[in-house]
Amino acid sequence: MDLSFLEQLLGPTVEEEEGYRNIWVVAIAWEPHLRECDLQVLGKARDLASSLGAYVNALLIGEGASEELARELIAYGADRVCWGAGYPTGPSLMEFVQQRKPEILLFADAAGGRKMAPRLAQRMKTALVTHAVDVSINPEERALVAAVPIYNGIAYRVVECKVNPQIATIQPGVFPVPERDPWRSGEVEEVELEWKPQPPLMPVEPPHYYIPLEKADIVITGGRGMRDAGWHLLEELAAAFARKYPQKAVAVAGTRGAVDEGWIDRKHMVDITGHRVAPTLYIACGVRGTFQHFAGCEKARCIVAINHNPDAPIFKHADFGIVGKVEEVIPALIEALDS
Amino acid sequence: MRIVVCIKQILDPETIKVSRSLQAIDERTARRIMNPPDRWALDTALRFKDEDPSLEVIAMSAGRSEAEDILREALALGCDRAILLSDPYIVNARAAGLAMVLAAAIKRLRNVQLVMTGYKALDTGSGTLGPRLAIELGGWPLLMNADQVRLESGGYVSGLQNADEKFYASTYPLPCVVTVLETPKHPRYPHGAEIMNAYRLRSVEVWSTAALGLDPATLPAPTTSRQMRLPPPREFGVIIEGSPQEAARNLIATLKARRII
Ligand SMILES: Cc1cc2nc3c(=O)[nH]c(=O)nc-3n(C[C@H](O)[C@H](O)[C@H](O)COP(=O)(O)OP(=O)(O)OC[C@H]3O[C@@H](n4cnc5c(N)ncnc54)[C@H](O)[C@@H]3O)c2cc1C
Ligand SMILES: Nc1ncnc2c1ncn2[C@@H]1O[C@H](COP(=O)(O)O)[C@@H](O)[C@H]1O
Repeated sequence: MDLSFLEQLLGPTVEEEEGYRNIWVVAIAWEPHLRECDLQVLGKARDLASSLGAYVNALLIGEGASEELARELIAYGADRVCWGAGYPTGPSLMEFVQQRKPEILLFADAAGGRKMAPRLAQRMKTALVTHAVDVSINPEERALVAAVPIYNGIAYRVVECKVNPQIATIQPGVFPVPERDPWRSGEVEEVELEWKPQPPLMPVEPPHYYIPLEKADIVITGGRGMRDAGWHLLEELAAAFARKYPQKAVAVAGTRGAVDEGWIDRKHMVDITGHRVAPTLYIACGVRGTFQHFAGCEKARCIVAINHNPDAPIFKHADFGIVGKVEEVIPALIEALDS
Repeated sequence: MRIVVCIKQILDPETIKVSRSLQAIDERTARRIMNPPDRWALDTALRFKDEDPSLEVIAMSAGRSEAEDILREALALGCDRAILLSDPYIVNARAAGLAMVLAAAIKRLRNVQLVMTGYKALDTGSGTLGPRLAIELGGWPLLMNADQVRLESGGYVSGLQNADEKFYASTYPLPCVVTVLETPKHPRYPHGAEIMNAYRLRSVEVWSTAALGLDPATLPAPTTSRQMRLPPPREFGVIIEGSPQEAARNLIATLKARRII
């Protein structure tokens, strides 16, 4: 029988090409459930797999790992899942990777992967692409091409991996969680790695100054333009939002200028070298809008700017702008919220 | 006991310009500075030295010869020694190779019990040098993204590790690698006179790969960097007209309609 027709249909087989094949995702279950960030990586791996003609495999580890969760990973797009309840030692993780020879190995850029991926890469003396925000495949080279933010996100560098296994960590939140298909089938295999004895985890209260600005739904930021209006107006606007939307977390922040003026502490600074926030709503009051500042807030879903200078650069970045004096517009906003 | 603090020279993100037409970063007018997070690492090490003057704090940087400036600054801040690792291989090396070179230099120093780095380099960094060093040094424990780092009696280091926005109290035995978070507390800056002294009276040692007994031909190859891309400019940008009252009411209504609030 002539099988060349079938081969054409299936494309070149990926088997045995240097021995490295398939995409692997490392998923970590500290607790008995899957993490969203790992599912996002799995979904992206599925996309990449089709351009490589590869399978998507997963290694599921962590104290919470179980056969049930392994089957869940199949429902979310894995073809084969190796799982074990525990946290592998570095050498045994490396041995696993050397045996299974993934062509591409992906981690979420979150607790666990952040420590594991660079140490694995160093053991194997390979490169590691970290917090990729976009990944694709260069089909000629079978290479992973990833965009990674540099200078804290002013720009992206596009890198292409050269050496197998091509290891990368993927920024959480950039790719969607894939559809769950309970009817998908795949193989589940329990693996015995060398587990490392874990010291007990001791969660503690965050240090007193640690305010997760990153967690706020609404961030109200003041710049030097708040001089005449007075900083307290921002607090009042924040309070008005909090009254109207008690379920939302509202935070007040400042630009570098406001921090330099001494109006607000550096710990509340939104800037390339300060906090980078991603609220649903970002209101910039009396902020000129340098790109250093914009690097700190570009991820906001909606940016509103209030500035009396219609040529202020902030308006270029804003979704909505009000040209006016903060001392007039902010009280009007408070009134509009309270009415 | 010796503490090595790894510091990196980067282009000041505040001074680089972005050219959209060229899709490139214009570095010509940029200043070179110490990677800001590394100041906190230095500060932490120097605090240990304030408490125990017998500790020797050594600043180390791998890179171009210009990095000597940040090492002088480290001397001015109170470091006992400053070492620049520099040669053509090092200037082009990527993380895997850099970690090998830095680790070789640290091993050569002997009696180093603590290696500290910033939590990440603001330029192209990713916060991987610390974990990589931990492996290269022979599998040292790693206290990563830590705040409130303390040296404990009996040969331990403790700190609060930040992982996914939560903090965990951790203690590891020395020798250990620690990557230090930035905190609101201002780290120390040197006085002008100390900087002048650091240039006049102190010297920065310069080591090369060959001097460390490494052969660049056997060190890891880099990933290739393909190109740069700038984030797309944001789309719209609607100016809401009217008196402050009208504009405010309109804005709130629009935000509600778009389900932003
Ligand atoms: C939200 C969240 C939940 C988590 N949940 C879990 C969980 O449920 N289970 C879990 O295992 N991890 C959990 N982790 C991860 C945990 O914090 C570690 O990051 C993880 O266990 C990896 O360990 P490690 O890589 O730091 O090990 P390494 O840094 O390689 O461990 C260092 C080694 O030093 C040893 N050591 C440490 N202190 C001492 C000491 N005082 N004396 C002697 N030896 C010492 C340890 O035994 C260990 O072998 C969680 C993390 C987060 C963010
Ligand atoms: N070339 C270098 N020389 C010395 N230290 C470095 C160098 N590169 C990075 N580091 C240190 O490692 C930390 C993390 O860097 P990175 O992994 O590049 O984000 C930095 O904050 C520095 O403390």
